Amino acid sequence: MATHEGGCTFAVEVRNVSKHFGALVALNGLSVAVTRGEALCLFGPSGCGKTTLLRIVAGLERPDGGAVFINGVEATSPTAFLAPAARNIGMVFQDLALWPHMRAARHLDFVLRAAPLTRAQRERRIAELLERVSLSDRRRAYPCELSGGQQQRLAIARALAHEPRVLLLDEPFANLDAPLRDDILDTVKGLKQERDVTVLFAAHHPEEVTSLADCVLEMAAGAYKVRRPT
Amino acid sequence: MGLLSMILVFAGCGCGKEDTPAVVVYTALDEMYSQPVLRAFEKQTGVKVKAVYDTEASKTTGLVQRLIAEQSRPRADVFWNNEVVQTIVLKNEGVTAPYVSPAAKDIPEQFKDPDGHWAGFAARARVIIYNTDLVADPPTSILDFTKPEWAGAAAIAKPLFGTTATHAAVLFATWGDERAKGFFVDLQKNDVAVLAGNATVRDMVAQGEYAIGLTDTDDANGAVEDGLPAKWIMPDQGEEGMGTLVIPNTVALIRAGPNPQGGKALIDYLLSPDVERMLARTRSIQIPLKPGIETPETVPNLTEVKAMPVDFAAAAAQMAASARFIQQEFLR
Amino acid sequence: MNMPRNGSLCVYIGLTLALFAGVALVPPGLVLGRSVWVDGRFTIAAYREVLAEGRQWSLLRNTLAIAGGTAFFATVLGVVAGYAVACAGRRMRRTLVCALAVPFLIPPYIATVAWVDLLGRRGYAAKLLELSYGDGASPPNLYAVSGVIFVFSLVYYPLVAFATFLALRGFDRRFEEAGLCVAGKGRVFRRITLPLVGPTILTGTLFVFMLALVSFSTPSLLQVNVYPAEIYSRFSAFNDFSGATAHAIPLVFCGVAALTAWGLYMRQSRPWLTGAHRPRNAAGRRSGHGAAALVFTWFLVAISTALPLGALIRRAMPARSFFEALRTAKEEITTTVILASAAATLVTALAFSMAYLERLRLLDSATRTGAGGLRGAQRGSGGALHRIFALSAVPFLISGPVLGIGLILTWNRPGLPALVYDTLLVVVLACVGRYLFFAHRGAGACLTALDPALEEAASVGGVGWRRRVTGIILPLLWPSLVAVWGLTFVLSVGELEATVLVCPPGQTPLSVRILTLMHYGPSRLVSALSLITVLLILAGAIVTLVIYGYARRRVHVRG
Repeated sequence: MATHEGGCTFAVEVRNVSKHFGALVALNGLSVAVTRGEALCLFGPSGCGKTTLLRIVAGLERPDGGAVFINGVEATSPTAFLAPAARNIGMVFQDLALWPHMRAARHLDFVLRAAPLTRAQRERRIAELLERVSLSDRRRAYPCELSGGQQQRLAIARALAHEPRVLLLDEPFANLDAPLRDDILDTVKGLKQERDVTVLFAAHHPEEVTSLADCVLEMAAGAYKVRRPT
Repeated sequence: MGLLSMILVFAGCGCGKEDTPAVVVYTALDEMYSQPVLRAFEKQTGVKVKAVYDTEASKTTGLVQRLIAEQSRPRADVFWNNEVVQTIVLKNEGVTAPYVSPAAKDIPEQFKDPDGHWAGFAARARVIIYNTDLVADPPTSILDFTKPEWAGAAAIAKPLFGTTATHAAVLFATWGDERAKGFFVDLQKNDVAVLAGNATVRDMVAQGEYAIGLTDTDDANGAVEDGLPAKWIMPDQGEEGMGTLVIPNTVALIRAGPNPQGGKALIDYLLSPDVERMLARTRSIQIPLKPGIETPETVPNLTEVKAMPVDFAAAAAQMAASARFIQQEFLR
Repeated sequence: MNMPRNGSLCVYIGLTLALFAGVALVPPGLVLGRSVWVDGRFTIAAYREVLAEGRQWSLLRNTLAIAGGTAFFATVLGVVAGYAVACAGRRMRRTLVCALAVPFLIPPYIATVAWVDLLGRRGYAAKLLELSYGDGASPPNLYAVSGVIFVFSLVYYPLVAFATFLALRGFDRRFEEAGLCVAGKGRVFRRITLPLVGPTILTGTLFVFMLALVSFSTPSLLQVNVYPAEIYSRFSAFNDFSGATAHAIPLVFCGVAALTAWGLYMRQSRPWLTGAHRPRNAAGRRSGHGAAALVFTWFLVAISTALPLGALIRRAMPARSFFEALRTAKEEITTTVILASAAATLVTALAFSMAYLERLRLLDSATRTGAGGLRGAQRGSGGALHRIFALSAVPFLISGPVLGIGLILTWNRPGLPALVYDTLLVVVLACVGRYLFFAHRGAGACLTALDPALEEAASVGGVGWRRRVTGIILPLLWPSLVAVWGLTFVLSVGELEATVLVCPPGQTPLSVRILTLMHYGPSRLVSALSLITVLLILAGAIVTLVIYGYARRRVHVRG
């Protein structure tokens, strides 16, 4: 994990990325790499650039300088830019961004329609995904009819629907009470093991870090340090 | 863009294919009077007429501007104006084409274009309307509007539009600039009210808001027919008088219109005695220009009226200058 | 989110730009061009002449006094009415909102005819005063700048009332309560309430200013000289094409100045306006002021609705004449409904497309320049597309007659198919041109309120732009788009000033027929037709409201 280990292809590699918002420096020459199947926790106080880094990796934001490689492919650099849809990533947003007018199953169907699947295949995938996040009995519910934990799990299922190799989670445990957090943590850990998915997640509580992360990127005031969790 | 096609369908619903092409006429005569005439033409010939009527706000001139703007690809075949000067403006702009209708034969020369671009029919006169409750001895000349005895009691319509604008241009052409300007300045000094239109002048006088007003025969007759306390007289009829201004309807063929044959047929019809008879019998009591047309008693007979001799072409040439003076000095 | 560059999107952008140009850029451009290109050479003589005229000042004074005065009084009345709506209980609120919509639904020229009937020199009020106080008493003069402001204020104040209500509804009372712990009421109002609700109210004021600025019919009926009326008489009395166009320039200038001032103010205030903020404690403002405002508002509704409608009904009596008018105007009613529906549909579609493309561009420029996502980018410039679409105000500001002439110059030329100019489509385009500005602003505001993450979530999942629009944006936005449709339908039914110049032979909308018949003053037929127009508009508004309510329930109950 961390800075470049020669020869190995990383699932995600960020090289010397900087990002300014006016006078505010969000990222300052950050370099980090994540090996396939591992989980990197972005840890630090609010405003240290965690969300910005995730958005840059997702292709929702362009850095001022530096490059991003996903599975060895140059996704963002001064000369190249891969659209978010072409990066094969999944993302869970901080406020989830569930579509209020769609039922749970429709969320997944909507994403899956972008893939070359038959109707039956799609149905099967939806059933599997809902089963995996324990929402099988809630497939016809609208987001507002789901509990906080169920909403979170639906957002995760949506992010995984198109089988991404990389999963980005923006503060997935914020505002969740302890039992709920453990529930979500279990879900993500299970998925990571089953599917060999690389996970990048932002957190600002130490307890979120320990059980999931293989590696922690500590971010504070433009300084970055990578460590293994104890 | 399925939406666009939907709109095309909507828009197309009014333009179905017809066997005989329709005649398109732009008419400045009030819809109430012109529509029955056009219907009668349709009935007689089987040719459909599509009309665009002028509105109160744009008066004659909205249609004139539209005809000028459409000049590169005219959509109208015929322009039926309720006065003369704007038709001459169109002729000068090259919008009209010459057509000497056989039906125009017995129309007096004063009311025809020497080059055959337009011909007049069914006229109105500029008359003085007065409130019979307020006035026992009405004025006999438009010059009386400047006399102190009528200070604050007289009304005219805005002389920028319709027949009042024509009247002003005629005065400029007949009297010359100086006298005409002097007249309008005197009107202003005498506190003459300037109202929205001739119909408003009629209403205000009939309601007693003003004692006297200058309006058209059609409007004035409306008040009389409604039994309101109002009467009207032809001004300037005395020996020394300059005569009453008589303004005919005019009709002209549009150059390169889509259906010239139909247009000519409509012009022939409009200039026929039938139409003058029809219009004379309406509330607007339009005065026939052709001799020998029997009319109701209320309609003045042109042979008994001292009409003001007018060079309408000269008036058209004066139009812009008189309008500018009126707007900048009179209506300030 | 990055804007994908693919073929279908390019076609979509091309179509939107072409339609926008055909409606909003080319007609004003051609008119302007013809006014400076006279007899084969470039000249600004007409402009110089216009500027040198002494009466410019009186025209400018009247025009600005009417626009400014109307904006001021409509805002004062509207803020009180909007506050009253926010204070009202649930059921009364619904009734009040419907009642407040009515004055705005009466086209200004119809309201003017009614008010002339009521307050004119020989109107009902004059008769009443005469009976009570004898000959000397007369109502205030309606035929003056103040009269125009009076009529306009009573027609347009509901716009500000709705803006105020929306602002108060989106305002969390806890903001005030938190302030009251540390400061007095006055300071809380100045420093917290006003900055938060002011921008929305001011948007309503701006719309009123713009509508009053370019309106021709009411000042003309009340014989007040303003720029739009001057443009008309230049066309009409002088055959002076260039002079008329030159007179449209001060209008454009005033409008652009107002828009710029508003834009600067909004730029300062914008960060907290973006995003769909749904406060939990907004409803149920109740206070002594609220009760007083409610009483005042019902009184206002009575004056601005019952009096003019009553005058129209009284004039249209007996009921037989109403049915007779209905029978004779069947064709005009059909034409009006087709025309207004088509115009509203096209303008809503175009406005949405414009707003959506701007959003895509904003997102695109945000990822390029690092303006911090959509919310950040909205504070920034927004790029060329944004600037081009800002020109949607131009066809509205140059006034109806100039736009009408522009449409003739654009669409009535040899070589172009007659499909547009010889059919109602040209009238549809006139309405689209006149009201695109409002629809564009409306659609833009709706899109801004939509959380960008909703679309980003789909984008990351590999969903293309077309499916994002049809699957996420439209289903979430359609209640708002229905509202935009309803607004433009209402405005299109009343549209007159450009329509009158371009309506094709044999297809007359109601508004034009009413104006044709107005020669005879406020007659029985004019009043009956005016009532039919108002009923038609009300029917459109009710249908819109029902669909809007249904759509909102479907979308927001889940939200």
